Amino acid sequence: MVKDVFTIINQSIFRPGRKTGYNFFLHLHPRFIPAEKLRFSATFCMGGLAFLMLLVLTLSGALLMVFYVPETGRAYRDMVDLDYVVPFGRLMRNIHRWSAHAMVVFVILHMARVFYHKAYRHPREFNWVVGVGCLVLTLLLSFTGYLLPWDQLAYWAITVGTNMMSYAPVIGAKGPLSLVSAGGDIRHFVLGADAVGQNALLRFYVLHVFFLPLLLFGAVFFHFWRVRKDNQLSRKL
Amino acid sequence: MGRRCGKREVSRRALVKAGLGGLLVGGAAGLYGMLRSLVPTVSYEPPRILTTRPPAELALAGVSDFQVADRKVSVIRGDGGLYALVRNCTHMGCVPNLDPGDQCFHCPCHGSVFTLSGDVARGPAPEPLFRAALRLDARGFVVIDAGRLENDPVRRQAPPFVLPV
Repeated sequence: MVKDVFTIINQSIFRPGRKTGYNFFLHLHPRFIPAEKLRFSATFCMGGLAFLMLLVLTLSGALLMVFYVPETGRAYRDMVDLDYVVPFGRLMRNIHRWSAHAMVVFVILHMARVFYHKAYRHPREFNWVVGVGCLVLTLLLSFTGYLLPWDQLAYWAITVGTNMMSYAPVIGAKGPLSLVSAGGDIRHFVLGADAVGQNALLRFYVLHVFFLPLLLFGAVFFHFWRVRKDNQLSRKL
Repeated sequence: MGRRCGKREVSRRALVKAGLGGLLVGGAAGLYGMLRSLVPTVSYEPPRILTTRPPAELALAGVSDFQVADRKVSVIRGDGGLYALVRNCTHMGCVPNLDPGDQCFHCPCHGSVFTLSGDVARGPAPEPLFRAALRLDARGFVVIDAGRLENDPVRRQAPPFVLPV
């Protein structure tokens, strides 16, 4: 009886046939890859490492969310508690921090590698554009994460960063939006106030933990799919 | 679209088109609502008005610093009277500090330098520091109104941006 239930469950997950186990992996990988493309210097593993960092950041970030409240009175103290009170908190925070730095570096090096291999050319030109989108999202994630420790460095960095927005044409402080309503420029829209404060902290937090990762994962998987569709790794052009 | 027995018939294609159009309009309205909700209609930030001290005390002090809501304000005694310099750099919004040595405000972020009157001595700041409006309350105390700003070289020399002492 017990064996029957097990068999039913097992057969409902794994379809009959010899190759079922790695059928899943066969669909993740291309049918074939030329041996020359398996050389380390073909990719330097930069894209893969950037994606690995994204996975590490997602996991470590989710752990950090348990110990952090995006409230101006608590944010800094929660961050300090992570360093001095929470068991393994400093390790957790530093894994997140250093893989964030590493991801930016890997993404830029990946871009440089693609550029120097002329891999941005036809038929891969659109995937270059998708890649630039991934770069922008990576930088936005860095920027929004920068505010969350709520220390002096964070506060003034975001003050400067958001002040730059008011210099933008059309959507900036001197554009048409600001004529419609007071404080109607892009900076005010992003901060939700006139200065960096509680609204800005909460908005950056929501962007950092939800909207930007969602967009980045979508963009990254689209990027990978295009690699296969554009035959990116399988033949020399 | 044909007519049969006075009954209007809608083709499947037209119905799908109308449905998709409706979804598009509804989606656009929803998007507008989502974006509109992000623009605050009420500000819970503290008012940018601060009652300070009698003018004679401020004049004696030379330079006095106050925190008026999110703005750092220095009330300074000048030739025409007191004026309130808002020490938020016109470049990127950091707070320049007064160096007692050269009597200039130095911005820690990008190195802009302002004179005591708020003029740019060294870039990258694009324009002079703003001055806040000053007035006396019923008791004769100086009130800073950091919601009302001026940095035009002529207009900033006249009340309410200068308070004669």
